[in-house]
Amino acid sequence: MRLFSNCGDQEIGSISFLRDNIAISAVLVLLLSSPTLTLFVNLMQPAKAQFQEPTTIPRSPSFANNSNSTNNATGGLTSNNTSVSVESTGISKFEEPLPIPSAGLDQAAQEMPEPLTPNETEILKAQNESESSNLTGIAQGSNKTLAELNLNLTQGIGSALISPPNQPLATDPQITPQIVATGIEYEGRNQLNSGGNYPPDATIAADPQYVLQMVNLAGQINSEEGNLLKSFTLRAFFNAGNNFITDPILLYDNSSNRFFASIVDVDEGSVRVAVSQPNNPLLEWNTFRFKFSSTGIDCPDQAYIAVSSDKLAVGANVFSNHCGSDAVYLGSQHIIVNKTDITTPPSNNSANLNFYPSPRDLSGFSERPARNSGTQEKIIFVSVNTGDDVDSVKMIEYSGQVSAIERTVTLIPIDTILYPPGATQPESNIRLDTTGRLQSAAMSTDNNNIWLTSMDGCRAVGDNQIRSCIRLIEIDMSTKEAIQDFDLSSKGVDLIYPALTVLGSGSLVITFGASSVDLRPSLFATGQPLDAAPNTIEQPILIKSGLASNLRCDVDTCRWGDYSGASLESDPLDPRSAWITGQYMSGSTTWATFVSKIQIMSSGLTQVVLPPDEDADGDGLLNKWEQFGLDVNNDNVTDLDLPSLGANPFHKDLFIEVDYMQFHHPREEGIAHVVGNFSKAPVSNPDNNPGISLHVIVDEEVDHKPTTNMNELLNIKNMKFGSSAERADPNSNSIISAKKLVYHYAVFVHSQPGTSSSGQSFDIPAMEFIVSLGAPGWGVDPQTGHTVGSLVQQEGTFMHELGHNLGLRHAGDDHRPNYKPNYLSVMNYLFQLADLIPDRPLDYSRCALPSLNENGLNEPEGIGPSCPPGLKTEHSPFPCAPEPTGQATDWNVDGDTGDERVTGDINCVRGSAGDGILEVLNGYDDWSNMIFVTDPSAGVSISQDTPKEITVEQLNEHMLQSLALIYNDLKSLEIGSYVNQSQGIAAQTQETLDNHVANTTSNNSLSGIILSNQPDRFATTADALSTLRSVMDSSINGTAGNDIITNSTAQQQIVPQIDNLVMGLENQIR
Amino acid sequence: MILMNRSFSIIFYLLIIIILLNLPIEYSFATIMLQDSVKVGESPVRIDTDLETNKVYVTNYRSSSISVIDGNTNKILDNIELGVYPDEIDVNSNTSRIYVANKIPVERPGYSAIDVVSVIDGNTNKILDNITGNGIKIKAVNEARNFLYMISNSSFISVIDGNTNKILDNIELNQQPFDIAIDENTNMVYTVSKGDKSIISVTDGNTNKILDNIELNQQPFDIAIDENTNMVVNQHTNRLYIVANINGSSSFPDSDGGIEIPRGILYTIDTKANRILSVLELISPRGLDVNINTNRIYTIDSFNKIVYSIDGYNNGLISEAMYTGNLPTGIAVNSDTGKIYVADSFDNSVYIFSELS
Repeated sequence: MRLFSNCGDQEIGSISFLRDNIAISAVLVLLLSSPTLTLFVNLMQPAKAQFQEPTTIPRSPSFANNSNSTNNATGGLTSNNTSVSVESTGISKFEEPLPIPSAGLDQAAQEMPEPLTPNETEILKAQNESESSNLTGIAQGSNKTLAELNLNLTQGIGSALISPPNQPLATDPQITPQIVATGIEYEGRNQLNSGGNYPPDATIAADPQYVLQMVNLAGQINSEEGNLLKSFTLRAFFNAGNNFITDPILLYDNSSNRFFASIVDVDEGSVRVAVSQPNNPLLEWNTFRFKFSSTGIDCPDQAYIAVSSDKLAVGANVFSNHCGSDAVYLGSQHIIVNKTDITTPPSNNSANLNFYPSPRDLSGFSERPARNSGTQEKIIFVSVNTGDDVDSVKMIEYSGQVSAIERTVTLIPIDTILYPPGATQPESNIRLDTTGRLQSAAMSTDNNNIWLTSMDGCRAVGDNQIRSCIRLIEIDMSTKEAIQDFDLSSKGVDLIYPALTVLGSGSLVITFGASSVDLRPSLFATGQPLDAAPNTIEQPILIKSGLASNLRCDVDTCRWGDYSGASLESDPLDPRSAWITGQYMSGSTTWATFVSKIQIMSSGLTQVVLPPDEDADGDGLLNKWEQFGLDVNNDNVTDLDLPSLGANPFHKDLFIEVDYMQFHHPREEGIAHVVGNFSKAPVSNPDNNPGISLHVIVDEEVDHKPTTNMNELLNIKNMKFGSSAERADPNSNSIISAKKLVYHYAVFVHSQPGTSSSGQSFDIPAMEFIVSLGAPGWGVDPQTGHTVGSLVQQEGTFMHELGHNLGLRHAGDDHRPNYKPNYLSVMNYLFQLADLIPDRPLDYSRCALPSLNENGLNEPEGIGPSCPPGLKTEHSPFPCAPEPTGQATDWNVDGDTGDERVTGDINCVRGSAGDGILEVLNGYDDWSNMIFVTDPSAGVSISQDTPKEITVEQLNEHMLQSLALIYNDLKSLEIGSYVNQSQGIAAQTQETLDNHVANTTSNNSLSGIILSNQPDRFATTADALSTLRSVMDSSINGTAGNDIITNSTAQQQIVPQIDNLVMGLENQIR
Repeated sequence: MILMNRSFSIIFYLLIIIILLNLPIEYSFATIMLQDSVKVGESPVRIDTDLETNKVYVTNYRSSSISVIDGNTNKILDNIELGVYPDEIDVNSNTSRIYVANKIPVERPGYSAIDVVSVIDGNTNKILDNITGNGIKIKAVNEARNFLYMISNSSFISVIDGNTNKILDNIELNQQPFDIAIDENTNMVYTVSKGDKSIISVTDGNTNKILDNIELNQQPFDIAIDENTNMVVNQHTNRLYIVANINGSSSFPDSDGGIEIPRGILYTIDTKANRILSVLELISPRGLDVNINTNRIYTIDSFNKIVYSIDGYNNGLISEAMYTGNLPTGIAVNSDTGKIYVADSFDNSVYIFSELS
């Protein structure tokens, strides 16, 4: 039986794949609507017995005792891999003409090795035309849940035992975990527009703004919203000339904010690796070549890449003779380099990089690196080993620095894996190829456990034959045991080529293909929420229905991917979401791919009833708003449905509506960049996921005006705030009021009167701001010729002005001094744009750097370490060249960094000189000091760390209650509490209280002023209360002579109440 | 296409200025194209060319060296180690001497380094001498007379004999000088300085006497004379050019606003009459040089990353190119080969452009 297929589209080897038992089963019966898919979970017996090594693949002598072997290696090679090399190969750019002439897709299409037939071309073109108009629309059928699923959890031995039926999947019946499609989905590359290669081997990666997909042999970049931004050929992208390249792999590295891509170059025996610039895959990529032999004859097949916090690994099955028909398997091999050598390559592009090459291991095959968020230090490869006795997962761990890397190999018993039969399909007797072994692996960020998935053969409950199934295994990294080991199967349905990832939330997501005699090969997704019971999975959802069976076949099989029919990537913007892609057939011999964003709702937190008037996540939005929406007039009609807008009471949310003048529609990439960076904000949330969910609605165009000032901004807001539909709604008053409580409002205008300033916030903090990039000198829109600001200018200014809305200033907590070298924030003019520090992150400051005293600068201490480390800044004197933080600084430019009392005007104003003032420059932590304003009319602001009452009504009500307490306490005082126990004074005081404090019918009483919300009279109220306080304060350091209430107990009870109320009034006044 | 539109806006301003000054309008067509780039040391800041040897010299501010580039092949020929922070550089093509401001570490109480201008033999790339002075910087070379003009932290400019490296004279300006340019035909020395006013002093190089002062502040511009101010002369056309920033664009508004456009200005001065001929508003200009054969002026908009070629006759924009680097800090043109060199202190590279007419 074939175990692997090699070298792109050729099959050159086979191996036995043994199986001695049918899986012990637990069954999830999933009743699905068309296409019906019933999934079973087949639990495996934990294998505790000692095992023997698989014998079907000859292994290297160095692995004779490899149940736990350690290899401390420093670049040392075994005898069969002395010719490995790694070198930089320059830069690949989208913008510049590439060395290879086939930079455009049209040209690539002309180069198709396997041209489409005219009929097929027409079919695909028609489909493209019909779907291209709505990239983000709902997929055909749109019934993404497939059915009301009747889930059955089965336990026990043997597929016949099914009990008890209808048991919920999740451990907590209050929690209803579910996997859902987000509605963001679109067509990926297809056979026509990727050069006609076959099969596609789709791969995907996403950062907060961009989604990259690659197939054989093209790629595309979409925005987070699904809009197509770029398409390209992989030959041009990898500078591969006319070489035979195949098997692209993509990943996104959270720690460096870069994309990595790889592809096998069969002709030169290398894996080409490309790495993007941080945060923007549309810019140039650095390219590298990982050669697996000096001659280029040895061929790395099915190469995978992985990153850890400090390393990049490339692994492949190495064959001889260019993977040709007479190729011999030479073993599995990994090459590991320092990640920084790839992300910041040496200036000499031709220089070889330091690397660690593993021995070629003939006992290893299809060793897949576990996807890693980029924060774990280890690189871990896993593979599924089958043998005569006990099957196992082979785990190879690489830890430590590349120069002294430690390699540890562990074999972990698993239940036996059976070679799967081909997958059935309608309209053909020829089955789909299912011969891939291990498909995908990923490492959980929650507990570092490893999940892996492979093909398997099993018999589903009620089925009468073994079918193609999917094996899922979780390895506990602390015990090195398989703690979950089960098959996913479906009666009458073959499951094919899974891929998996572990989300930031800790939940598992799997995507796979499925087909049967009644089901054309289609793409599905499922998952296991973090808090789900072991050995269970969620109800699957249909991602894309196949439009045809695959009739592009050889004699006895039809290819369905080389080693991956689907791939996916955890979405860094939302830890509950994943991007998936996979193939389907658009015609009987033409493939296409589909991309979809799915989400696993697993926490169950939304089921918890929170204190309604508190703010659990400190984002200024009350729990009840985020759980149930806003009803501002208490008419039981929800005026703003925040939950449906994505609000989460356990995670900070920030909402902004953006309108724009003609020509000034904000660039979507810029908004997405800001949204993405908010998602990475170093703020804590009750759901234990950092970040702020920034919800931006780009709404509507407003009339163009040459200049706009702040008063005119308010006029625009009065007319245009809310959507046109909301303003036309019969309930518009309440809707708009509700939105004003929640939404910031921004307008992209042309310019401001008398200045070329890029923007302006209404106040600090505030709810309104403008972006004004229309003055001559800002970037020009090439489409319209209108000056609107470049992408960097738009996103920098948008985030800068939003920062003012959130209480930040140009020096952090103050406007000056600007250009502070130790304030690494987009609020600082030094960092608002990227013209002075070209690689500055678009970010607010993440920590307060140490203060710098310009009258006593300490050179050894330097500027202090940035957050994250290594960010650049600049300081005078001229030429203010950017330099890294966190190192000693030669403040006086005398050639050493040992001086400790240096005077220097160090804030460099636009690359020339200081600001003329010697002072202390303080660092500032922006993200920790944001102020979330919720009600502009009242000016109430709430720090994220001290959530309080937030609406005007609630605050006034709170103050009334305080006043009532004071009133009641005073009214209840005994006569002995008054000076000289005077009945007259007591009576007079109580009369005053009744008339001037408690009388709610009078707008002039204290209660009336608060009740009628007269903030302009709050000062009067506060003064009156202060007067009251002054005649009862002798026991707390006040003047005794004028006290009318002298009882110290009464004083100490009432005075703090008065103080608190006065403070609340003063806050209202501010 | 962005470039075209930016051209329109700049040309618009230019036309207004030309019309106001009643200058003749001439049209030329040319294209600036990136030819090559060369990796140099860390943080290259200043650049100059030797017309005789077709070598290019770049000061690497953070790697204490000069990169020597072969102007024919665009390859690095040598790397000359210096003291720390090499900055201003000037070349005398007649003598193959390279003058570089840098700092030499010393063991002296209260000092870790002294400011010097190193004299380098361009044939051997060896340091021949160091001229010391507090804050001393080379600013101009009279190649014909082999005189060096330097500034320091004082209100003087120093005239130095290039044969002996000794001071011949000090010229008192009464305010801080920032840049110097020389008309070798007339032996006039032009020094821009800043004090109460921003002034270009016109000094007779024969007598070292100041003959005239040209005030630069003209409403509505409030120019900022500082280290970013650059000045060059085209002695063939009797034109003096100076670029500088405009004050106000880098202020600290006590408001809630964003940054303003950092504006700059290019003055063209008639050196026969010592009067300002034209004024062209630019965006954040960095560096300035002139091709004395074509009378093209080159500078860079460091804000929008654009290389400008400007007609030195009428201040008319001829062509522009997107600058593909990140942080341009210095520019030089070889008038013989027409190559334009831009030092990029972020990319650690020199970008090489050519202009096709």
